[in-house]
Amino acid sequence: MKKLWLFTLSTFIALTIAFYSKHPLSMYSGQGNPAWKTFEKKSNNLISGHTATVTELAAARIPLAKREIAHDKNQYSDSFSAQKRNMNYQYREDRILIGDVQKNNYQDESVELEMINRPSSNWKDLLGNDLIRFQYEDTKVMIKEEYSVIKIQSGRGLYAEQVLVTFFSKNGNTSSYRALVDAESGQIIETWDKTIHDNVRSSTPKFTLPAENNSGIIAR
Amino acid sequence: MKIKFSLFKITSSALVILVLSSCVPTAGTSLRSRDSANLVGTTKVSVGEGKILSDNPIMLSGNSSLSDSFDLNRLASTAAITNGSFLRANSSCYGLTYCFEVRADKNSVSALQTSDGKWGFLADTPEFLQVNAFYHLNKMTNLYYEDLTKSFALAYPFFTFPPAAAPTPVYDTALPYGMMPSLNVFKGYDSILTFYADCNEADAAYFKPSDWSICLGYIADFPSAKWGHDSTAVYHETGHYFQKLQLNYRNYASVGEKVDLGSGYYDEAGSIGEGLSDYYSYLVNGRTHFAEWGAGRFSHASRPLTEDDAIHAPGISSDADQRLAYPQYVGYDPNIPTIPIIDIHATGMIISHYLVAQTEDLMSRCSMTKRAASDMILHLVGETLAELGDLTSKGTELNTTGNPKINLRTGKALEWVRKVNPINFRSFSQTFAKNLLINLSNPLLNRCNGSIYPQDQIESILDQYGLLLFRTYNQNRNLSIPGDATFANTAVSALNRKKSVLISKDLLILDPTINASSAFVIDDKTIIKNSLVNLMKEGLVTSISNQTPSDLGFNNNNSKVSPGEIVGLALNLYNNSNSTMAGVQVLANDWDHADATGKPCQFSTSMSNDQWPLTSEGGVPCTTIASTDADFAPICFIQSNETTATKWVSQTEFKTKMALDSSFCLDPSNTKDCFIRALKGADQANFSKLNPKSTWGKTHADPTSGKAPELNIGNIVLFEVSKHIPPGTIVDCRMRLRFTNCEDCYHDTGTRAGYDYLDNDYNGPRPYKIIHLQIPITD
Repeated sequence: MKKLWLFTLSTFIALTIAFYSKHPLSMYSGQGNPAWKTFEKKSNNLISGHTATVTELAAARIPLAKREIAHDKNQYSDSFSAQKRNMNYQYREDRILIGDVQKNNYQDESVELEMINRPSSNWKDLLGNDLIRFQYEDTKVMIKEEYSVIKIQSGRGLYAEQVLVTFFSKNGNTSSYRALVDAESGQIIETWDKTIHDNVRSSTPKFTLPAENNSGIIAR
Repeated sequence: MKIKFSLFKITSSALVILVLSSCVPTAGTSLRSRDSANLVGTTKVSVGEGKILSDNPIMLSGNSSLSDSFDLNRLASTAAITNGSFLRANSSCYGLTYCFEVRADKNSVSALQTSDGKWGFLADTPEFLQVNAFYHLNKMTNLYYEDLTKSFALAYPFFTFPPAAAPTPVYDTALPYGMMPSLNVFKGYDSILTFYADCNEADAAYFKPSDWSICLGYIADFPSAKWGHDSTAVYHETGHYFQKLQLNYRNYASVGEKVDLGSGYYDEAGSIGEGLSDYYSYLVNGRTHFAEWGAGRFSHASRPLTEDDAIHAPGISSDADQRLAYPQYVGYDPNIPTIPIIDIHATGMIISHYLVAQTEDLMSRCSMTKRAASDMILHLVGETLAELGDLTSKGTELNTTGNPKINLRTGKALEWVRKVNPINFRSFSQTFAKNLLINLSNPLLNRCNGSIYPQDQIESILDQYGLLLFRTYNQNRNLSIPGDATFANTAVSALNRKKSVLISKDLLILDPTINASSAFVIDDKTIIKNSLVNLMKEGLVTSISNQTPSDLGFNNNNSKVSPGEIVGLALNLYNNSNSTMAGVQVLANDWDHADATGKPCQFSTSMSNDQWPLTSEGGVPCTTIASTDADFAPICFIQSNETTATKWVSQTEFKTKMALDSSFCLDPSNTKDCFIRALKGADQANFSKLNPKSTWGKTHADPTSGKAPELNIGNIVLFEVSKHIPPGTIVDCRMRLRFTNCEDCYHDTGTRAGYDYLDNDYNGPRPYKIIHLQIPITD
């Protein structure tokens, strides 16, 4: 009985090791990653959101390996409420301060800072809905939280989230960029890190001018 | 029992072997690792060495017609690759064990691994492409970091570690000393660059900063011809990566906004980026032609970097008056020289040719080696991009005033660098020239063979390229004060401006041809939907009103503006001058043209060409010459029929008159653009150039067939119209226009005696030609 148990155990361990050492999915997130959220347009009236699955991360070719080797580990933490403090940044309310941070010691929470907004728990859902609403039904958008920040602007503070946005189409095409998002409304404030394409043939949609102007517009 | 036990031992042994074998990197057919000896056959390489193509196959074979089926093994040579186990390289990156790695494609789970320490693979294998890409990427990265170290030494020659105090640079550098926390270690590099040597995409090559990756694909019609076999393509694409770093030298923290060079559609910033990337290929290999294999052999799309290249059309040479000058050669493609194209790569050749010419002049006048001269150019490009991309607005290290010098101010800087005062051929040339001046023409430094590089020579070469588009070097930007010695700008000698033409903004008009349309409406549901899908995927348009249905159900394709639609508006612009205009920009973003209550400003004749609206029509005199940097009003006002007169009122006021609840506005939290708004991210249009006395359509028409060019999204402005706006309403949208080779779009000949406008002036009317669109809302 003991040998049978040993045999079963060793077989199980061996097969598990063999499977995970060979299977490409092992390099993607071992489990669904709570830092990523996927939004999917089921129909014009139905948008669903869920924690990104292993399959989705793999399909969008977001390898865990690359995220793990990055220097700034805290940006890849699953728990953003407890993001580690990096000495290169100033913090307030556990959020990194960006913008006009030199003008006052805003790290000192006794220094008054008028806030423009209030963080909301559903900012990511609002953002995801905004981004996916106009896409075709075969598209998914995946949103990953990177940093929670307070942006100081003209002496006032804005709660914001830095996110990575990835669009993933059924044909396998992906496009992505970074964005700063209002932590209350989920509205995008700025975007950057857009892809530079050097395609030999342009893929930009083109259209011809209407033959004549019937719009009634008067330009002067 | 004995049999059973033996069976158990056999099974266990087999399993142990299986377990052990699974721990060894897969050999054979796996993409991850192969034993190179099995593949190369008799061609041996030593440990740490591999097989590569030292240049692209066309150059190595000397055969410009080389077949895609040619055995590239015959051109391969042996080179040192790495003694590591993976295709990963370590350089002067900050806090990382390695800075970049090369993988086969986007499905690869790891960098290529060697099982025998050797990197010799057959040329048609994916492994060869990876090793080849690694070799050239490593070569370029080493050069870049060496040059960056030299750049810091040029700016801070007395810098020691750890610095006792903030070091003082020997000239007004844009390189922030905090970027180098210890010797030859740089911040801003805290992500790994992943290079996909064959990303299996047709006709594609791209740099993707969102995950710091580069992809090289293959030629669609010749799938065996890979971009990864062309080293110049590796240099070009990696050049985009380094430009991104340079542009953000002053924004090096991981958190917060970064600057991109170009929007993704045609604009001059994107053209400059392509020209720089071609130059970066020259920087590494010293050759004045790009992509003979990847683009040239199969797609007729290779690019020269010097006028002496045989590919050029007749009439182009390195003679001073036959250079590839701006704006004449905007959209010139040497492969199809008679057809004007709208393409950032083609236009970017003006920059690459200028930089090569400047490099050669440094070699000649300063007795520099080619290596030293091109390293100096890279240093000056780094300084230029760092300053232009500064989101802190400090600009340069010797700005100790505490006042913003560039890009208006923190918080608005990204909007300025992207749209309001964007990087274009003028700003790049001016800042690059300034950096030449304070480095090589600086008598305190004597960096040109123990002497100075003549200022006249800076201006002469720029002028040969039509790029002497500025009257001063604008060193002090927003701090500058004419006549004040501390904040004066160095003047350009007018005598040196022989070829560069500056045109009055008033000569940019709407097509004056009788019966010609001055504007067009595009409201086709499919066209607008596809445009929006693209713009949103690229992160340009990010928010559309909740009241606009996602199927664009109100778009009725009647070429009129109707309630509930999203429409594209295209202007039919005309160059009424005798010289070519280029870099035409139509701005529909918010600006300072209303008073505090939202009433439309009526500007004086010295401030604006429109004098609209009259006070009897609701206008209020706005006399302040300097615009503020905090007041922004949407471009569109609405006609209100009142008891005694018809007036132009703000959208907020119109909403109040309609007694419409704010919740019915396009954005319920902002009543300023309650009824109609230019979509942020699609609120500017760019046109590459307008020939003299010509429209954009005629400028780019096929010279043989006369066929008009097609528009793309970058040529139109998108407007969102509320479904609650009553049909019959008249809207007036006040748009601002300018172009790059414009005399009075950048020079303030009024209060600033020809100095450049200040950044807050660009928030007002004075630097622009104002054009109105009066739009009837039609059901």
